[in-house]
Amino acid sequence: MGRIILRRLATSVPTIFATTVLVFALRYLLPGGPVQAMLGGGQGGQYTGAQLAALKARLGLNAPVPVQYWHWLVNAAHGDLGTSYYSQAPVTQVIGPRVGPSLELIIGALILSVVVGGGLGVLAAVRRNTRTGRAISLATGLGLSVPDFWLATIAAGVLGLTWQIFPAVGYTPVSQGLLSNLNTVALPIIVLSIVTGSFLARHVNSAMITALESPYIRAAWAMGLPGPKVYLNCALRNAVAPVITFIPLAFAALVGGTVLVENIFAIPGMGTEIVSSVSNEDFPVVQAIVLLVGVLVAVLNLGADVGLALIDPRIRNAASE
Amino acid sequence: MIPDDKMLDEAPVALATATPAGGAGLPWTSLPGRVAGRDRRPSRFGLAGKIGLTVVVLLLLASVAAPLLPLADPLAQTLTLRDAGPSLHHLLGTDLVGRDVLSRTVYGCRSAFEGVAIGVGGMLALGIPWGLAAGFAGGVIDEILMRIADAFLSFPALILAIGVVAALGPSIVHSMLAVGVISAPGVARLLRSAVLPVRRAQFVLIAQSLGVSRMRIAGRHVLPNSMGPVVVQAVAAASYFLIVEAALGFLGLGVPPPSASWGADMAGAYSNFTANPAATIVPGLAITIGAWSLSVVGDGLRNVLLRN
Repeated sequence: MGRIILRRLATSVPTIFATTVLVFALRYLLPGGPVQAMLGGGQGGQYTGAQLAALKARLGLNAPVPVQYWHWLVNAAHGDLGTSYYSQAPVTQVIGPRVGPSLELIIGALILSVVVGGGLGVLAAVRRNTRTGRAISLATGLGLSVPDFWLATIAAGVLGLTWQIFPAVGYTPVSQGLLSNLNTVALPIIVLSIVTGSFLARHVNSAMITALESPYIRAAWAMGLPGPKVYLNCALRNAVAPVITFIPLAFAALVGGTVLVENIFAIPGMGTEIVSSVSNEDFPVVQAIVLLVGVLVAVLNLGADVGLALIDPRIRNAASE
Repeated sequence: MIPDDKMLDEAPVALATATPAGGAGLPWTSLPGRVAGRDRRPSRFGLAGKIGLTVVVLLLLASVAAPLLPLADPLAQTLTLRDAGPSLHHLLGTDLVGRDVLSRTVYGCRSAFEGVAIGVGGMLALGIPWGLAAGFAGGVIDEILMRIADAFLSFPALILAIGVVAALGPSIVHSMLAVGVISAPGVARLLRSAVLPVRRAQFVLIAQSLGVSRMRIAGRHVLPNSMGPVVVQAVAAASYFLIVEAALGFLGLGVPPPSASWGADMAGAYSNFTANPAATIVPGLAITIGAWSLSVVGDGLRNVLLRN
């Protein structure tokens, strides 16, 4: 078991390395490179050649690119992601307070997707070939193809602006009361979880159907085990694997979704920050958020693979061969 | 699975006679295209797939022929007629500066499909050589190419696109190209696993023994017989790219105004949702219908091309 974890760790090091290289390389897309962007961008900033050279020297940009990358990486690992061009504050200070609301939305949507989506997937498998099963299949098919931000605008527009059941914009932190916090995040979380929940329902459903039609379940029925026992003890274990693989995938999808949903509901998370940083031409903040997201996704993928090996001896044995 | 002579000779017969529609056949990887083509079962493209294909064709036609259609000018503002409801002149009403919603939605097809084309083009241009090289070369090259693919497999495309827009400014070309490039590893992986069995098939061995060059074998013999999963993936990705293009437009990072774009039009109209919900809902509906149609076409193609 330890060997599997070690091997998987070894393969995720290159993944995280590649992510950091990609994010580091983004700054070389800036017209004129990072220095001109700092001095006022490609839009004809006023500066002299001497200022340019001085700034270059101060930022260590005269060093070879691999050396620059190494410095950037070491700094990032120490929590120094640079200084915001816009607010002149350290990037970590700009992003720090934004992480909480985004994570709340993402984790909330993950939990809701697993509970409702997973539950519907199991129900549709148990009631397959009945009206319930087909209705769930139709609903999840629809849920998969509705863009979340369209749903969010309609939800915020109809439920928030027109009927005023939920607040259409704004965010109350948990510190100001759990209920008022939930009141502001409920609608965004529900909207976010529709696509991921439908996706999970589909996968849990097919894993469950495969399990339910396999010989060992037939044997369980033949032995006269009661229904709940067959479903819960024997078949449901097979629904755990799709849930674990789902989490990093859904996280990556939800990160994209929160950018839009946060902007629609005006929630002060990383999604609103990244968009306003783009319009402020505050490149270090954008870069830091892209880096954070990329590394988080890689780490979650690692966690999911290890988790799968932990719960499923078939995967464990296949991996150690 | 590596197909041997027996499988290639007998499989199609067995498929055509023994398995009813919807039954299990051989994994698609063991069936090069021509052999699968002999299967006479009715296609399972399905009703949804046909509806989706019709809608996609109509949307493509609309995006090409928009100027020929009897529509109002999508940029013409009638400031006396802001956020108006449906009328004979404006069938779906007007937006907050009095532009025709129907016309803008039809013209919005253009930037939507432009974004999709750039994304899919970038994805295939990188993914096909990548996967073909990995599957065909094998060994260390394969290992290296696939490890790089793994690294980028689950990078969130929208976030990268936003990063690229931050560096290069709002441009559908740059952002959608970035989305396509970051999606290329998926294509590379699929193509590689489709190439592996084909490159050991008899007709490839024959071509090799006739002294056909490696490049020609890869391009003319192996690639066409391994494209099935790539085609399916490209259509599925198109559905996703349509949503990403709209999302970028919605965030103000897509096509610059005043060009018609579904996402940007939605965002513009949303500030006035209570007065005129139609101007937000209609372009959003267009995104939904477009994305759904592409995804069911992808499902249909999967059923037809990759029976398993």
